[in-house]
Amino acid sequence: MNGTQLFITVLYSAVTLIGIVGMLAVLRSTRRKGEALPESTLHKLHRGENWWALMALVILIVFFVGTFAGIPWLNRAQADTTANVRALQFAFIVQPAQIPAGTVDFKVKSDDVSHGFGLYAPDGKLVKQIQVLPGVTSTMTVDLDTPGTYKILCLEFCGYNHHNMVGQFEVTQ
Amino acid sequence: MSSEATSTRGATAVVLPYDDSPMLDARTISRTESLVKRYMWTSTLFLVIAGLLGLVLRQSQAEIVRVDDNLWYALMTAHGLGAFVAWAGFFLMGAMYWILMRLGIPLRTYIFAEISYWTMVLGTLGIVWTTLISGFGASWVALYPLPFHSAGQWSDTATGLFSFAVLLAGVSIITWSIALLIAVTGPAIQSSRKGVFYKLFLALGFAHLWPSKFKHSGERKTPYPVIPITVIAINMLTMTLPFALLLVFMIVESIDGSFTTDPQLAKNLLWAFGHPVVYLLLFPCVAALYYFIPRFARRTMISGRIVVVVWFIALTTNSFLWAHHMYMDYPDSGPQQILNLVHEPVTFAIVLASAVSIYALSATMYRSDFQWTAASKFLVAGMIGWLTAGFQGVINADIQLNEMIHNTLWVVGHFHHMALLGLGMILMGVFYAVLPMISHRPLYSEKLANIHLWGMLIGGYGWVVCWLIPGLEGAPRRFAILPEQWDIWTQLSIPFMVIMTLGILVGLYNYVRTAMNSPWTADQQPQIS
Repeated sequence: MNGTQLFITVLYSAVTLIGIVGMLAVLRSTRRKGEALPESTLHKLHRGENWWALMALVILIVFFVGTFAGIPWLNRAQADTTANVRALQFAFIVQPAQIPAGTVDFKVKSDDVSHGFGLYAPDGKLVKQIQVLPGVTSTMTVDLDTPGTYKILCLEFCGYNHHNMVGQFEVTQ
Repeated sequence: MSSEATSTRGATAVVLPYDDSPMLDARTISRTESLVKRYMWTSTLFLVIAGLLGLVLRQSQAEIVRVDDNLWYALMTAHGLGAFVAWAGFFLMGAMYWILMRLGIPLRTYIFAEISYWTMVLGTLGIVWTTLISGFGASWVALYPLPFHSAGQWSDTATGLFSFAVLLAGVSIITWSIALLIAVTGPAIQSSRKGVFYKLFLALGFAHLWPSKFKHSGERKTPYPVIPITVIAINMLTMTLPFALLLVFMIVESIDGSFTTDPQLAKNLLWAFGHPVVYLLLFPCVAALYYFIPRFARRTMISGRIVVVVWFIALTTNSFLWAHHMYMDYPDSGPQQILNLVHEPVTFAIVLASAVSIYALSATMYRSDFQWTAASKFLVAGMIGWLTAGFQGVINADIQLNEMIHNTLWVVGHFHHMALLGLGMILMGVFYAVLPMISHRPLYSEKLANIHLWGMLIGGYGWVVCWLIPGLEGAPRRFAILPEQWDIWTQLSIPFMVIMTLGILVGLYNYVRTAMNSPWTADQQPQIS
C-alpha cells in the first residue's frame, strides 16, 4: 500500500467511525421516551445547523487546498526518460521496452477508443494512471526507482477483451 | 398533529404517527395512488431482473459458472442501467408523486407522468433487448467511440437501437421533471404573486430564507421535502439534454457512418448528465427523509434558513461538476485540465446539501419519541449508508486521491454502497411506509421486515467491503475476469451476496404479501399517537 492508499484507508476509517458513533448516539437518545425537549435545547439544535454547515465548509476548503500538492498535471518533475505508449484494442506497445530507473514521462496515444493507462509495480499494486482519448496525447510523469517488471492494465472499459489488454516493460538499474 | 384530519382523508389509511397532510379529494388520491402503485411495482420487477443479472456477473467473476466475455459485458450494461435507472430512479420518480400529494401539492396534469411511465418501460425493454439479444456490451456509459468499435461483437444498428432505448429513458426523466415543475409552481404552492419564476423560488424554499421578499398567500411555507424535489426536477430537465444530444449523434452515426463526434466532447456530454443523474436517486431520497423522519419523530423538522442556501448551491453546482469523472483525462492540449480543476471545488460544494441534511435529520431525531417500524428502521439504516458512502464520495472528489481509485473496484464498492445500502435502503423504507397506505392493507410481517433489514446489513456491508479493499490496491473495474491476485476477495464476496440476496427476497415476499393482505376496515386502521 503506498502513501496515498494508506492515507485514504486511515482517513476513511476515522471519519466513518466518528460518523457511526455520532449516529448511534442520536439513535440511543430516542430511548428516552416521553421526555419533551426543552426549548433551549431545541434552540441550540437550530443554531447548530449553521455551525455544522460552517464546519463542513471549512473541512471541504482544507481538503480542496490540500489537493493542489498532488494534482498530476500541476506537479510534474523533470523527466530523465521519455517512453512512448501506443494503446489499441487490446494491447499496449511501449517503446523502449527497457527503461532506466528514474523519472519517466509516458506519452500515451490511442489508436481507436478510450483506454486507461494503469501502471502497476512489480508487487502488483497500482502506482499511477491516466486516461487516453483517441486523437490526443496524454503525458503521465512518474518516478520509477524500483527495478523490475512493471505491468500496464487498461483502466477504461474498451470492449469484450478489455480484461486481457495487458502490457509490460522492464525498469533497469 | 392532525388526527382529526385522518377520518376526512377519503380512503387513505394513515399509519404515520405524525401526519399533517392537507385534505384532498378522493379522486386525486385514488388517481395518484394508482399511478404510484404502477411505478413502484414495475420498478420492483426491474429490480428482480437487474439483481439477477448482478448475481450472474459476480458469480462468473468467482468462476462458479463463467459466462462468455462479451455476454458478461452486455449483462453488465443491462445491470447498470436496470438497477440504477429502471429500478431505483423509476421507483423514486413514482414516490415523489406520492410525497407531493401528501404535502397537498398533487400533480396538476397526469399526461406527463403517463408519458414518463411508458417511455421508461419501453426504454428499459429496449435496453434489455439490445444488450441481451443484440449483444451490445459497451457498458451503460457507452463511451464514444467504443459503441462503433465493437471488434465484431455487435452491429452499428444495435448501437443505434441501444441509443434510442436510452433516449426513451431520458424522455421519461424529462417528462417526469416537467410534471413535478408544473405541480410545484401551481396554486398549491400558495404564492402571493404571479409569475412562474417567483413560484419556483417559493418552491425552492426562499420564503424560509428571505421572508420579506418571498411570501406565500397562506400561512404555510413551502414544506422542506418540496425543496430537493424542485432542485432535482430543474437539474434533470436541463442536464438530461446534453446526453440526449449525444444519443441523437450516435443514432445518426449508426445510420450514416460518415457522421462522427469528437470523443472528448462526447465524454463531457455524457458526464454532464452522468453525474447529475446520481442525484435522481439522492435528492428524492432526501425528500423522502425530510417527509418521513419528522413524522416518525413526532416533531417538525429542525431546520432553518441554511438548508435553503445549501439546496440552492446544489441546484447551481449540479450543472457544473461532471468533470470530476474526467480527473484522469488530462491530455497535453485542450481545456480539459482547467475544466477538471474548476469542477473540483464545485464538486465539494454539493456535499454541503448532504452534510446539512444529515445534521437536520439527526437533530430532528435527537431525543425524540421516535417510532421504530419496518419503514423507519430502513430509513435510518439508509441514512447511515448514505453517510458512510458519502465520505467515500468526498475521497473520490479529490483529484490527488482520485488518481489511486479511479476506475478501480473502490468505485464499484462506493456506488453499490451508496445506491443499495444508502439510497436503496431508504427506497425500501419508503416502500414499507407507502405500500400499506396505497394498498389500504396492513404490513404483512414486521418480523420478515427485520430479516430483510439484517440480511441487507450483514450481507450488503460484507459484499461492498470485498470491492473497497481490493479497489484500494488498484483492482480494476469492469473486468469480466479479474487478475488472480484479487480472486480471494471475489470468492469471499459470494456468501455475503447470498445473504443479501436472501434478505431482499424475503423483503420482496413481504411486499407482495402486504399487497395481497386483507384490506383494512375502519376499525383496524392504526391510530395516530
